[in-house]
Amino acid sequence: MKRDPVSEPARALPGPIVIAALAILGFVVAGRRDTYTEPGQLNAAFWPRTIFVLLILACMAKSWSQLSARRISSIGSATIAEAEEPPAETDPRKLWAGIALIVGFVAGIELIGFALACFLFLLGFIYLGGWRGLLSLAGFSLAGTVVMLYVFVKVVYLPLPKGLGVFEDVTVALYRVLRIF
Amino acid sequence: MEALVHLGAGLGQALQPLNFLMIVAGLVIGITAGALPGITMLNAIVLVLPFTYLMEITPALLLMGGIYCGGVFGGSITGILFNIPGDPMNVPTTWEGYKLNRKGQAALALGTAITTSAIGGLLSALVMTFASPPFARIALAFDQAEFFAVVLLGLASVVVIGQSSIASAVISLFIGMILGTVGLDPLYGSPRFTFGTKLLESGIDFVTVLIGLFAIGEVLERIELRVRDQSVAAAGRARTQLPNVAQIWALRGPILRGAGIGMAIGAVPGTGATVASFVSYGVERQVSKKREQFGTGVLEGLAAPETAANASTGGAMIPLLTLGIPGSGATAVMMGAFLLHGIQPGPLLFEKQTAMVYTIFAGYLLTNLIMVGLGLLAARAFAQLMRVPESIMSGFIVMFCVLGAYALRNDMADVWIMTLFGVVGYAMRRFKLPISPLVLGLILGPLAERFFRTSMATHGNDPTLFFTRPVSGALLAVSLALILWPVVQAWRTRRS
Repeated sequence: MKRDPVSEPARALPGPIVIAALAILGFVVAGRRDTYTEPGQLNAAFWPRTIFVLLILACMAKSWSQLSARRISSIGSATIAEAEEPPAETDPRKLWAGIALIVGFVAGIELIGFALACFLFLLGFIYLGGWRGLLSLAGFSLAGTVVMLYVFVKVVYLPLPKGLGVFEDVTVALYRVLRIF
Repeated sequence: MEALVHLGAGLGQALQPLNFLMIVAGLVIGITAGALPGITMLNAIVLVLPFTYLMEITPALLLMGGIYCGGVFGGSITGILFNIPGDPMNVPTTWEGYKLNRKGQAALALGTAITTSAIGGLLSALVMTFASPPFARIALAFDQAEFFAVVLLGLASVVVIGQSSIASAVISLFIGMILGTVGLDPLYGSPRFTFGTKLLESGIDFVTVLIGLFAIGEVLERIELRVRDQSVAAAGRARTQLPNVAQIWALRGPILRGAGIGMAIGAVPGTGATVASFVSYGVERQVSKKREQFGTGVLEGLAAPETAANASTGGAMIPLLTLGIPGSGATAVMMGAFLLHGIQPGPLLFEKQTAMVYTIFAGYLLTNLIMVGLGLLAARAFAQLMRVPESIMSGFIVMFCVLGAYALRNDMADVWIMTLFGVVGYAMRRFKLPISPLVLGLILGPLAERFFRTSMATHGNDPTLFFTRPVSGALLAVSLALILWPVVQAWRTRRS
């Protein structure tokens, strides 16, 4: 699939508008909270509200520049860079699978423990990346997990999550086999 | 002349086996800690602090000095090779260094980073030796208004840091500054944008954001693009290449400017290598003959911040040794080491502990010389990692990122924040919103707020104080010039 040229002014225009709308919301939210302030001093909302105003102004400037660029491109003078840049080949399914694997890994760390989650994640992610040698795939994942456990649990004493319920027992048993405990 | 005699004696002391060993050990620890995302140079110095109990003050400070210099450089290795800056100070180096890597010039980028970092460190060590007292007197005159002006200069540099669209860069910067306001208000402790959660009260840790935006975002983009980049694979086979004399001579301008900026900013307490590195890159982007090519992989853009970052280490030592005021987080820990040994750093140190002071100076010079050799070995070792297939490398990068974020506070919430910013980082790349200004805003925004509001609180809310104080006024004028320069250039281009 060819990547959409989203930097094209016409398509990018909603971006600054959305950010500006969120900034207006933030400006309102920042001012609503009652905060303690010494009399005659700037309160806690002053700084964020100032930045929100600057952000809104920057979004307006961006929108204006995009509109100008659209006006120019509408009369047929696309920039050389745009004309020459070929659209890149993309695979959105891989992207979504990658995000799902990372989110699953992070969620899995708490549920099944770092050791198991790490092994399964490496297995899935390396496969997703295009590696197809199943034995070497399992070998890399296992070796990577063991080395990480040794370095971060045994040497650095990082208390990595062991998982819940039966998975905690599995992790502890694994640590004993590896002589980490 | 007297200083040279003391320096000679100090060199003899620094070459004593234990002292020399501490320098080498410090460099190894520093380079490794700096290179690993999530483990900062500052973490490493803090971790060795208890061990300094076991030794005399001189080897303890040489060990910490080694970590300091090595750590400042170490983050550039992973920045250049994997687009993962080990520390915020290595972000500008990464902008150019990683692009050079993509062009198949990873070896030269690494070699230039090592050389310029060592030159910056050496120059600052020399200045530290011969110009400590007058330099520190200038920094002592700084008040909150001047600190604010220095930080503002760092923020203003965003308009010139490797971005094609200034408006996009500024939007990104302000988003970063907004994220920097999450947590407790620095003056009164009022919660802001915490939504009742305890975790957000301590703010959003910039390291978590940094790891997510840069590393995870990059991995996601690479997965989507399905590209196996041949130039990167070739870079892994290349040897680390030190620049020759002619190449260094060609970079003399960025190196000297970077060294000057680094030393000056390093000597200002509270700023440090990160501000020095960003300001140096911003200035170079303005004055370089190749300014149009910045952001595409230009050696000048790599040399300046790299020199500045390490030059700031010597600069930060000046107020510590002469006034007892630490110029950075690392030197604050070093001050702790002094106090652990019952020594109060300050002007009297030069009279009562002359031998020790000059051993530290000589040790700093040695550290930066040895760093070239050790840096080459470390870079070569890390460069071998480039041979690993991208699918395997990406998996391990994500795992390191998760471990790095978790190790900050042993809290999975940080890992979730990192993951969220990983997706944000991908989206920003996709929609051509520059990432680096967001990081800059997140790091410098809270500092700017603290200095601004403290200045206002102590001067009756009179904003003219920033313009009427000479140093602050001059720095603000430079910031204004930095902001207006691209506008003037654009106007002139349009006219011509």
